[in-house]
Amino acid sequence: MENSLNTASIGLLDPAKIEFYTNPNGFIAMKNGNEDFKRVRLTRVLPFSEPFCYIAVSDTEGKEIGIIADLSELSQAQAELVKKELDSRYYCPTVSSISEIKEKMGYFYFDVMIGSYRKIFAVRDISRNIKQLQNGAIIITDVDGNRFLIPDIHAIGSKSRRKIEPYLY
Amino acid sequence: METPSSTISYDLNAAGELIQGTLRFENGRISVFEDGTEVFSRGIEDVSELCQYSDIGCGRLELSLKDPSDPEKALPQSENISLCRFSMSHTEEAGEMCKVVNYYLRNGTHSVIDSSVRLCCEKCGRPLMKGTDVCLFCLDKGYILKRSLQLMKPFLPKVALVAAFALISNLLFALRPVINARLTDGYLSPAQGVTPAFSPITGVLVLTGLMIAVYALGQTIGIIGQRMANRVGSHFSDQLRRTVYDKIQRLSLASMAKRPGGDLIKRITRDTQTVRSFLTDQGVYALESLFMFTVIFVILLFTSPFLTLLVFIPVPLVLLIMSRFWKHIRLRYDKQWRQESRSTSILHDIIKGIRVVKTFGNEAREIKKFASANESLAKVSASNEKLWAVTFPFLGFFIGIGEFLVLFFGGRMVLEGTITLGQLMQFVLFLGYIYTPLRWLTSVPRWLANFMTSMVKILEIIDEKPDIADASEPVEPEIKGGVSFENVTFGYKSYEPVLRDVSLDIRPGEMIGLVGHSGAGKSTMINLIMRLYDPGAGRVCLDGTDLRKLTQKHLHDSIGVVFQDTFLFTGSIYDNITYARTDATSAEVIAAAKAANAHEFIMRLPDSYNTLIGENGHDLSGGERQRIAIARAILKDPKLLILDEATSSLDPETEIKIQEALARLTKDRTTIAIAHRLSTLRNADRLVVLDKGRIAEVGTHRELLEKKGIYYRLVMAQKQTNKLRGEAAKAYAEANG
Repeated sequence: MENSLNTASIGLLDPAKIEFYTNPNGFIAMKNGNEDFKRVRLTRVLPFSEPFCYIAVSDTEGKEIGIIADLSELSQAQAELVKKELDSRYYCPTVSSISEIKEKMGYFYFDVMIGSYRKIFAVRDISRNIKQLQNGAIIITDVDGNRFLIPDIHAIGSKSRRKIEPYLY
Repeated sequence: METPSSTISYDLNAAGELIQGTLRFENGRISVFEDGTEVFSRGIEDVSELCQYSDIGCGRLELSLKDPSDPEKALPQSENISLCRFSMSHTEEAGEMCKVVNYYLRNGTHSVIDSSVRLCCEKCGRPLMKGTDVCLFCLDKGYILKRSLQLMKPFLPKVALVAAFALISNLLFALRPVINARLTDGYLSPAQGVTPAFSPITGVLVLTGLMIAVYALGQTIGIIGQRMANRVGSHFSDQLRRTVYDKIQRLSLASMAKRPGGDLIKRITRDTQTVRSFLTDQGVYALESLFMFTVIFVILLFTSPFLTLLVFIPVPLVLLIMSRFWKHIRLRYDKQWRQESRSTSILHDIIKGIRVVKTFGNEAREIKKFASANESLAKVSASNEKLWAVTFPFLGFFIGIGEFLVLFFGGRMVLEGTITLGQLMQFVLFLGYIYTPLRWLTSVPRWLANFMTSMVKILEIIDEKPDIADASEPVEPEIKGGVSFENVTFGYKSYEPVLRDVSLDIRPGEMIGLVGHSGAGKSTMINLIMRLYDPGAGRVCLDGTDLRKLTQKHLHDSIGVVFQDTFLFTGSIYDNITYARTDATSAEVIAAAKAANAHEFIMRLPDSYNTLIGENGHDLSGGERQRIAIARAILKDPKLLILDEATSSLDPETEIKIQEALARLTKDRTTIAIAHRLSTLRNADRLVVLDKGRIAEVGTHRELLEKKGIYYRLVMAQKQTNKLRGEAAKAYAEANG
């Protein structure tokens, strides 16, 4: 049976009518036809499964202006600007290797490298805070709420992989 | 005089790279440094507020500027000045800086940053986890054992007695090889130089009789010791379960919310059992094994140092292999524990939501989900068992190699006449006593792994400092029912305030209606009054006394609550009503039920007040549950009554009954009510309208309508909705004849 839901009602923005720009104070802003939103907030609707599709644009009061269906529909320069803002809104550093995972009283201390920067963070309730996504990527959330990404478990080296594997389901 | 200044650290630059940044507020000026270099500095004369914004996985601080045309107002956010970005590890520090700067902007004086926000270990510098003042990293390795013994302290004398019985029993058993050697060398195969004390027949009879007596005595003492061990074990297990359960009851809602239900249940049931088993069974066995090992080792050494050496040749290697395995095995069992916990949580979830599952016809999907979790658990368990099944016999065999060496070299020594046949038999028999504890030693990592995993989980609960604790010298004044909020700021996450600078005075006996959109902070205000959480700034007082100074028992005894969703425990209706006051008389219970308009429906139930409800009992409707909750509150006779959506989702007839009951309940007591259906709050003495965490309007229903502000708009919107609903119902009725 065909679903009667009208997907057009989700408020998609017309890529031809919108234009993002950086306001004088360095914040991302958007023109939508005749309307000028001097600062907007971008939020991923499906941050894990479709990070560059369905990007919600809202005003500073949090009211949704509309949704960009796919960043590839924007010009390259526009898409770059949006991606830059998304990178700034979503902080999820990529773990390049894992030196050690040590458990202390129910807390798991991860000693990892983020690029060339060594980072030690603690994770509590490991079964809840290590999430394996459908695409194989792994998100680790530490006690402070920081999130760390391992995009591909096979790309971090066998030594690192052996360290994290016991904690995956 | 030293200039007051506040400094916090932050860790991200604009590009999201990790840096070492500091933000300093000094002399009315904010300065930002990145890796030691000043990148920004300005005065705050034209600043309206220092704002903290949360992004995803990070946050930012921005200066909001005053509107030059109206300095009381702020310019739009697009005119803000960005100061810095930080990861979530710095959010609380940033929140503290906001408090300091904004306090300065309001009062012109410099306050101090709360140093308790971030405590670090003095030894290693790592941050301490919230709720604990021990650095988990620098923790003494024997800490867990020490804490376990502390928990066992009341049982230690009994455990020592059990151990003593076990030792005596084992020593008696150990006498058998000695008697055996005497029998062989003295009478069966007399050795050179041995003079028998009896004739051969008498000697055999005496020594056999002695052996039987020693065996019988050893068995009897062993049985008594085992019975005592079982009793001590059960008492210890009971005590441990109670300690963990008691602590779970005392944890704050915030702490409870961090752990899934299945996890908490497993900690009370399985983990306490594992710890008990280790400390009372394995622990006693370890003690007696160690003792026996030492005694027999000395005997063996005196019999033949060479043969003793042969016995112990493989032991160091086995111990080395075991220590290597230790880490690996522990991780595997930890994973098994988590899988079990996950499986239990899924089961818990599905059974709780079984109605939804059935309504959507998703049984197959849920079966698949549970089967998949179980399959993972089975895989992990099987893999662990397999590893164990392979490792354990291998290690056991390896240790036993010494036995073959003893037989070979010992046999040669007997033939050469260096030792007697009886001595060799005694040696071989003693090997059994040596190898049993040694083989057991190879299974120690398994027991220890299970024990450590469970003990850590238990200590995590027992050692957690409650977020909400009584003051060192709490007070219990007479409660009249006056509630006041004094500049209260609170957020479930300290950096995301839900209530901002809220001040409100509620007089004793007054009825207050809390109104506002979802998420405006109404339930949060109620949570603070009930002291389920403490405010981040400001204070909540009952009759002028800060809630933090009252004992929680006294506070909760003074408050009655009727929630939208009433939870009834498994038991009779009578038990559920008296949950509020266990000493209530039957007459009081009936009076409370009558006042709550509950008596009528209770009397229609098969066993009236003794009708069982809850699991495997009678199911009550939402309105009936609500009336039980009101009866509970009436029975408690609180000075302060909280009604959280007490009449929502009810049919008009039931609502009228509940409104009547509530009218009786609220009479002469302070009442704070939340209701989405605004008509139900019309009779409140004052309505408090919350908007984005601030009090936007206060007044009576009439005053607020005249004001034509937020409340007016809410009332109008609701009228419109009701009108549309009415029209829709009318159209539906017409269409269906």
